[in-house]
Amino acid sequence: MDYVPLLSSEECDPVDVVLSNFSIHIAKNNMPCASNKNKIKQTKVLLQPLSVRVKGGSLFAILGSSGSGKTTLLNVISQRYDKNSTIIFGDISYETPNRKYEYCKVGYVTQSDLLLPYLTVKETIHFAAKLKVPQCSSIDSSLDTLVDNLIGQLGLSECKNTRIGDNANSSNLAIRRGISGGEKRRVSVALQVVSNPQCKYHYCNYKCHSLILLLGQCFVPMNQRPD
Amino acid sequence: MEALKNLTLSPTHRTTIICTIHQPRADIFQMFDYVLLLSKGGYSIYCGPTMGLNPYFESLHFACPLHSNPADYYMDISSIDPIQDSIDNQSILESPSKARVKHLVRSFQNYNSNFTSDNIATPTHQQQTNTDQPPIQISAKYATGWAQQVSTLTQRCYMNTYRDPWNLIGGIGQSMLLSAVITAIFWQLPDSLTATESRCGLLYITTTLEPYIFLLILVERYGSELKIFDRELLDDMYSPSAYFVSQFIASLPQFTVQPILYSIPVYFGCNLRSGGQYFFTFLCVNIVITFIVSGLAWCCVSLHRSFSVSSLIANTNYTFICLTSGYLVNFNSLPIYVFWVKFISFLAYSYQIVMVNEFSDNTLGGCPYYDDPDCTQYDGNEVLQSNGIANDNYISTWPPLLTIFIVYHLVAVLLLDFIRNPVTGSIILQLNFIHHYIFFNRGCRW
Repeated sequence: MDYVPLLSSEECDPVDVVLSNFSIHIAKNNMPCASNKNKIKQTKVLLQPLSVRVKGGSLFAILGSSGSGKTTLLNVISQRYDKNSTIIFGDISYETPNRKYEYCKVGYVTQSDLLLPYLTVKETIHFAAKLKVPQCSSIDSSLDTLVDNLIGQLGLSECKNTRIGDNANSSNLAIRRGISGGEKRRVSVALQVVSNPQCKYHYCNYKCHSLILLLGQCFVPMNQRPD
Repeated sequence: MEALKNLTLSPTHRTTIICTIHQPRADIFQMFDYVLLLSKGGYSIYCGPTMGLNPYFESLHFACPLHSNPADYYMDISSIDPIQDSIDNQSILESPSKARVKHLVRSFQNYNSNFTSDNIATPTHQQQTNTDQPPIQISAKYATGWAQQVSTLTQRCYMNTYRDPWNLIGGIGQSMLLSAVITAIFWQLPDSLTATESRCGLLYITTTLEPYIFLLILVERYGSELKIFDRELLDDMYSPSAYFVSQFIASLPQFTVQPILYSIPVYFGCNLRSGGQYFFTFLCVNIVITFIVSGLAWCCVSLHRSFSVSSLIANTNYTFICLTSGYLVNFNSLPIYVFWVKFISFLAYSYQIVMVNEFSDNTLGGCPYYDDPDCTQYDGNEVLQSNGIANDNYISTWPPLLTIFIVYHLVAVLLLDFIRNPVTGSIILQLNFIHHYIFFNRGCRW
C-alpha cells in the first residue's frame, strides 16, 4: 500500500486518549430542580468504569451489541452530550509524549451524513477546507492541493465532480441519486480530516498536535452496503 | 472503506482514530489495532489489542469456531438474548445468556486487575508523560475570520440554493401561479364605488396569501438546511451570525425578483391605481414582506428543527397576525384585548400602506352628480376612514414595518446562537420554550 503524505512530511505528535476510571451516568428523570445529590441517586449507568489508554496514531474499535454505550462514549469524548442530565466520573485527558492537554481538537463523524445535496464532492471538501484551515498567506493553490490529495487518499477521485445528491430512498424525483452511501461516508470523513492541525502546521507554524478522529458507525451496514 | 484504513494507517498522518463498528468483515476487523468490546449496560468484556482477542477468549473457553467471523462471534457471546431474557425473568434462574455475560464481565475485571490500567491498550513501551506543563488551550474558536466565513458561506449557499430546481419551481413558480390566479379573478376591476370592496379584498389578498405560502416553503427549506448547520456548528466551523448573514445575502436575488414577478401582473392586470410611484410603493411592500416572512421562518426553525413543530409555530403566528391585520375585522372594532396586535403585526402595516397607496386623495369615478353630498363616499379618503386607516404619508407605517423586519432577523440570529441542538441528550429547554410560546399565542387568540 502506498501512503501519500497529506501535504507536508512534517509530523505532529499523535495524541493518546487516556480514560481513567471513566464512567457515564444519566439522570433518570431529568427534573430541573432536583439537587445534585438527588440526581446521582436516580441515575442509570450507561458505561461502567473503564480505564484505557488509546495510543496515539492507532486505530481503535469499539464493538458491542446495541445499547451497550458505544455511541454514548464517543459523544462524551467529543463533548457532545447534555451537560444537565449526564454525569461523568473519572478523568479523560489527551497526552502527547511531551504534554498533557485538557482539551483536544476532535473530529467527529456522526452516524448520519449531513451534506448539502447540490454541491459536488470536490466543492464540499473545498468549502470545508476554506472554513477550517487558517490561511496566513495567499495559498489558494496549496488549498487545492490539499483538497485533491485528500480526495485521492479517500478514493473519491472518480466521483469528485458528482453532486452529493439527496437520500437514495427519497421519492422526490427532482433530486438526483448522487453519490453512493459509502462515498457519502467518506466525504464526511474528509470534512473532519481536513481540519487536522497537521495541515495548519504547514501554513502557519502552529504548535500542533494531531486530530483525534471519532467515527460513528464507520461501515455501512451489510444490507445497505452500496459498493 | 479500505481507503479509510489506508488514510488512518498512513505514518505521516498520525491520527488517533476511535470508531464504533457494526458487522465488520473479518479481514477489515484485523486492521484495527485495539478493540473495546462492550455488552449491554456498558460493561467492558474485553479491551486490548486485536491480536490478543482470540487468545483471551480461548483462555475463557470461548474459542472462536473455525469458520465464523470473530467479530460476529464475540458480539454474539457478549449480548443478552432479549426474548430469552424476558421469558426467564419470572423464574429464579438467570437466563443462560445473562449468566454468560456476567461471567465474561467478571473474568475481564479479574484479568484487568492483573495489569495497570495504562498497559491495557499499550503493550509496547510507554513514554513518561510530563504533566508539569500547564495544559494548553486552543486560542481561537474558529479557524478563519468572520469576513472569510461570510464570503465562503455565501458562495456555498448560493451554489446550493440556485442549483436546486425545486427551490425555483417552489418559490418563483408558486408566486407566478398565484399572481395569475389573483389577476384572473380580479381582472380589470372597474373604477367605481361597487368595486371598492373588491379592491380592498384584492389588496388584502395580495399582501397576505403569497407570503403565507412562501412562509411554509421557507420553513421547510431552512429546516432541512439547519440540520447541516447544527453539525457544522458542533464542528466549530463558523459562527451562527456569519451563517445567518451569508444566508441573507445569498437569498437577496430570489427575494427581490420573486415579488417583482408577482406584483407586475397583479398590479396592472387588476387595474390598480395608475402612476409609477404607486406601483413602486406596492412593489416595495411586497419585497419587504417577503424578507419579513423569511425572518419569521428563521425564527420558527431556530426554535425547533422538525417541520411539524416549526410549521405549527409559523402557522399560529401567521394566522393570528393575518386575521387581525385590519381587513376581516375593521381596525376600529377590534376588541381591546387584541387591539395591541395591530402595532406588532407586519401585515397590518403593509395593508395600511397599500390601502393608503390606493385610496389616499383619489376620487373614484362614477359619481352621478357633481357636488352631490352623496359623493363623499366616492372620495378615497372616506374609504380609508371607514376602514379605520389613518391617512398619513406613511410616517406611522413604514418605520414600524422596517423595525419588524430588523427585529425578526435579530431574534432569529439570537435564537440560532442560543438554542443549540444537541446531537444527543435532551431537548428539554427547547420544548419548554415552544410550550410557552404556543400557549402564549393561543391565550391571545381565545
